[in-house]
Amino acid sequence: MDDREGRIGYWISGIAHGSLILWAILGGALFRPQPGPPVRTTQVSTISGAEFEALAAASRGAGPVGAEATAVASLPEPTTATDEDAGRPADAAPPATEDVAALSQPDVTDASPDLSDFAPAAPVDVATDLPGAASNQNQAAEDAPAVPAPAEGPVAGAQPPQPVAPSTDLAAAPVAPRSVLALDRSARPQDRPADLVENRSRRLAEAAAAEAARQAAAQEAALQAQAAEAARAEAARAEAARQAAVAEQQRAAEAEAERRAADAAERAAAEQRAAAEARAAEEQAAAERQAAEAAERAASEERRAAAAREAEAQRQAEARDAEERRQAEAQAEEERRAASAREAEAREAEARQTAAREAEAREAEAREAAARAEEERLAAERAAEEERRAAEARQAAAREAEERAAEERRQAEAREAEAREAEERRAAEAAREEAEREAARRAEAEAADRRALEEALREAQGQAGAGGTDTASTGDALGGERQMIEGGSGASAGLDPLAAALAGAMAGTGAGAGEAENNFSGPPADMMRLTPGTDPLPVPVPNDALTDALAQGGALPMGEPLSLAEREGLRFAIQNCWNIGALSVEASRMVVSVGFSLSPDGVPDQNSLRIAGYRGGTEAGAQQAFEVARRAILMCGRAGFDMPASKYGRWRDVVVDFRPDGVELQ
Amino acid sequence: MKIRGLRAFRFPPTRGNDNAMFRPLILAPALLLAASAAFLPAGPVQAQEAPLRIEITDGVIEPMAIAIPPFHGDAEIAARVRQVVADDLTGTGLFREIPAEAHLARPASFTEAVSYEDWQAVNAQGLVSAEVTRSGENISVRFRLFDVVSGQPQGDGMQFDARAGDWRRAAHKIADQIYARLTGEKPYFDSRVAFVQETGPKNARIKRIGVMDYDGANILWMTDSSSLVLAPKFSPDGRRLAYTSYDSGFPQIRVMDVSSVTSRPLTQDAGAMAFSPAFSPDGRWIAYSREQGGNTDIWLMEAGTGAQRALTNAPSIETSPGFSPDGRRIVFESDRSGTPQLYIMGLDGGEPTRISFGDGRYGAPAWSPKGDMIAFTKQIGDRFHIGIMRTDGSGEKMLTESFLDEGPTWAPNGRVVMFTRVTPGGTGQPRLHSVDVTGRNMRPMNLDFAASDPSWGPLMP
Repeated sequence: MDDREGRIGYWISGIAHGSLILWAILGGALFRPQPGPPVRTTQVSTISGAEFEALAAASRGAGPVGAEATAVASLPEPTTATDEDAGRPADAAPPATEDVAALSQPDVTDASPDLSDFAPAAPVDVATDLPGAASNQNQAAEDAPAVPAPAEGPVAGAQPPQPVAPSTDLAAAPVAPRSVLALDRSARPQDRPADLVENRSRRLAEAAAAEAARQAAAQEAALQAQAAEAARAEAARAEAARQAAVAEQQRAAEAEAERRAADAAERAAAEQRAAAEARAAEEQAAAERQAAEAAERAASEERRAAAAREAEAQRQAEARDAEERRQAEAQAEEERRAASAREAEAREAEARQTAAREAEAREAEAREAAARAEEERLAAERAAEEERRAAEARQAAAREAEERAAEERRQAEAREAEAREAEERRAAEAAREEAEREAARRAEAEAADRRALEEALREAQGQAGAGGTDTASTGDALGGERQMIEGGSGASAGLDPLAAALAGAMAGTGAGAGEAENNFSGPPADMMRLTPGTDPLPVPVPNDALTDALAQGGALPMGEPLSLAEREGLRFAIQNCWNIGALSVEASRMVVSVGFSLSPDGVPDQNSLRIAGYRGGTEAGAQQAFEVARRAILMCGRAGFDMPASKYGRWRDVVVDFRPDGVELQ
Repeated sequence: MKIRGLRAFRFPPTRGNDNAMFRPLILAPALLLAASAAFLPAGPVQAQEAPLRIEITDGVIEPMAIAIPPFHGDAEIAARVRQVVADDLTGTGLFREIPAEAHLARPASFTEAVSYEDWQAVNAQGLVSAEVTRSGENISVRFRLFDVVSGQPQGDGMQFDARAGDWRRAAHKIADQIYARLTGEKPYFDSRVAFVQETGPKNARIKRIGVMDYDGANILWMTDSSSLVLAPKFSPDGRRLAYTSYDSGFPQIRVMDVSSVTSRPLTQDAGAMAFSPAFSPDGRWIAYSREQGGNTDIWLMEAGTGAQRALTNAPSIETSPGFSPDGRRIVFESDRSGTPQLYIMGLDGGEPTRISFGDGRYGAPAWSPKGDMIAFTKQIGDRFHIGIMRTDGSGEKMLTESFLDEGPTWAPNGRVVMFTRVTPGGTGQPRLHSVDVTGRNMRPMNLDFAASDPSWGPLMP
């Protein structure tokens, strides 16, 4: 896949590069810019600067302009056309004079323009909501200033005269060209009409008068309108009044009619009432009769009902009595129950009180028992503590005794070892001396034998002949004693003394020379020890030694500095007995330092207790604080504070700063 | 040639930054110290240079165990005297009596030697031995105090002679001595308290003034119940009582002689009301509150001549004056700042200085006989407190809290405060209570009737 892509890339690259090359070779022709359309030229003519100035002056209507005013550089004269300029357009040349004369002459017949058609138009009445608009418009038209008469000037439409080429007069001073349009004399402005102001004033006055008249008319019209309105209102009021009167009349008539009707009705009602009363009376009488009858019936009924009620009441009374009796009995029963309940509660309360008292008594007894038990426990703990300390002391003493015994044993062993070594050395020495003596004896014996042999030989030689000693034949170049040394084990008597001694030493028996000669058991045991011995460390000074040292005025054991635990132990031990509740108010604000000494057993020396310093109060307060502190030290130190004996020198003298911080009294 | 056996010494590889270059710098001082230590004398052959110093800042708070074996001599009186002594000491909350049945030692006589080991075994710290002898109408009480811990007497023995009827005072005197020696505080047992007994319903209280021993014994009634009486105050010598009486229909101050139980009016201004009296330390002056025209101020009256003058003159209410022990200043209650607060002012004039600034209302101030503290009543919301503060207003501390605690008065030694506590409810009654300035040991007075307005008298000679 990569090859194919590479080939594709190569092809594309080759094609692109080839195209660029071809374009570079042939592209110029293909991409050569096409010639554009030929440039068209127009013949233009140039004028000189003087001519231009003249034209400008003429256009402005000013006089001739001085030559120095010409700012245009004189143009070069046009050159003769050559073949090179064939294609170029010919420059325009100023027209000749005669050509100028051929132009149409301006029409000078009209001295002034015809403004007859220039009369102001009559104002048109435009609809407007402004009051008096029509009059304003007329007034505005009258106020328009009169158009002045047109001034004499160049005729409109007349062709401007062509510039005339000035005649050249080299001898005369140059004269500025003068335009035909130039005015020899400016027109005199038209004089203001003499009555212009008066006319204007008159017109203003007339306008004001008209305005006033108009306003007056308007006011009058308004007043008239108001009057008419008032009249209409009055008429309306009158009409309303008339109508009200009519209505009133109608109402009155109606009321009258109603009164008559009411009267009639009343009369009728009265008649009806009378009739009704009569009927009622009759009915009443009848009703009375009936009522009487009914009353008699009712009375009988009532009697019967009363009897029934009485019976009922009696029954109810009886029922109530019974109910009351029941309630009374119930209440009595309740009271009895309540009384019994109260008695029971009382008994129960009494029993509870008794039980409570008994419980309190038991609790008191229990507390006392607990207190006693606590005291006993504390005593037991203290005894146990003392026993523990004693046991520890005994153990420590036993350890010390064991250590001493071990030390003694080691010393004894060392002494034995030294004795053995000394014995060995003596034995070795003796063996060496014995060996030397033996060697000397042997040497003497050999020498004697040699001398005997030599003598025998000399005798034999003497007999044979006389001669000197020929040591060379014996091979004894040295001429001294010679011993045969045989290496290896099993050295014989002819062994060199030194070698014998060496052998004896190597044997390590320390025995005599014989044994040293024949015994080769190896180097001494101590020489064979490659590891250091595990001899015990020096035994620390025991208490006995401490006590003895103290008794003899010796130095105190210091040991390492007291650890934090040891210091804190002493502090807590005293703190647990320091009763700050017994301090006075003054003492509770003071700091008292108490100094004392401790025995090696940690028991404070009572006679050493003293005030080492105080602050924050009086001496009396310090004394009271000291008393409390002293009790604390003596109580908790009675059995001795648990302090390391090896550091006795560091805790023998103690100073305690009692600072009751946090006490509520402060 | 290759050298064998020669190996360069290399430091162990380190992680992170290689600080091997610093190792010699670290080792050098260590080696130097080791070298110096090598030259130090080895072994424990050196004397202690400085004592071991430790600091103790905390302890225990518990009553001191004290043994009070039966007193010798007249059995009846001795037993009663011993009981009063024991009650006095244990009532302070600072002592705990070791029960007699726990005693190991039974001294047979007052002069018998003390077996300290026996008393140490029962954890006694103090031992009281006493003897009471009676001769006719007189008694003689002698005692000795021993420090069991140190195994030696504490102070000298003392002897008090009194009438047989005053055996309680003798007991109080012994207790005072023991208390003073062991606590360092001044005694207060041989003193009396004036109070107001209250009986009847709340809307028709019947009040009368009484005087009793500080422990509630020997009550003497000073007034009858014919008129309303309030706020009795002892004179410095304890012989007089100043109190407020309504016998004229308006509160006026009267002074009573305690021994003869006779009184006389001190103020008789018809248009003014006088109340809340207080004696000066020398007994010559009486400061009180005087109300006239709707305004109440502090006035000062000379007890002998009756001459009086105003100490304050403000539109606010000033009341409850109390003298300082030196007699130069007074403390009083005033609402000039909007709420009742405590103020201190010199008797020679000057602007009062406010000393209470906490939340709540302050009132009924009482200056401690020691001059270092002022007790007061404080109300915060619907709760009342008895509190103390220093004379400059600092160190404010509440001692009690309840529905209604009021009217503190100081014991002669300035260590105990007595006050009135009213229980809530329709059947609530005022009771006298006492509390230590530490806030501990608050207990009611041993009275079987309602009482209020206590005034603690001086220590009797």
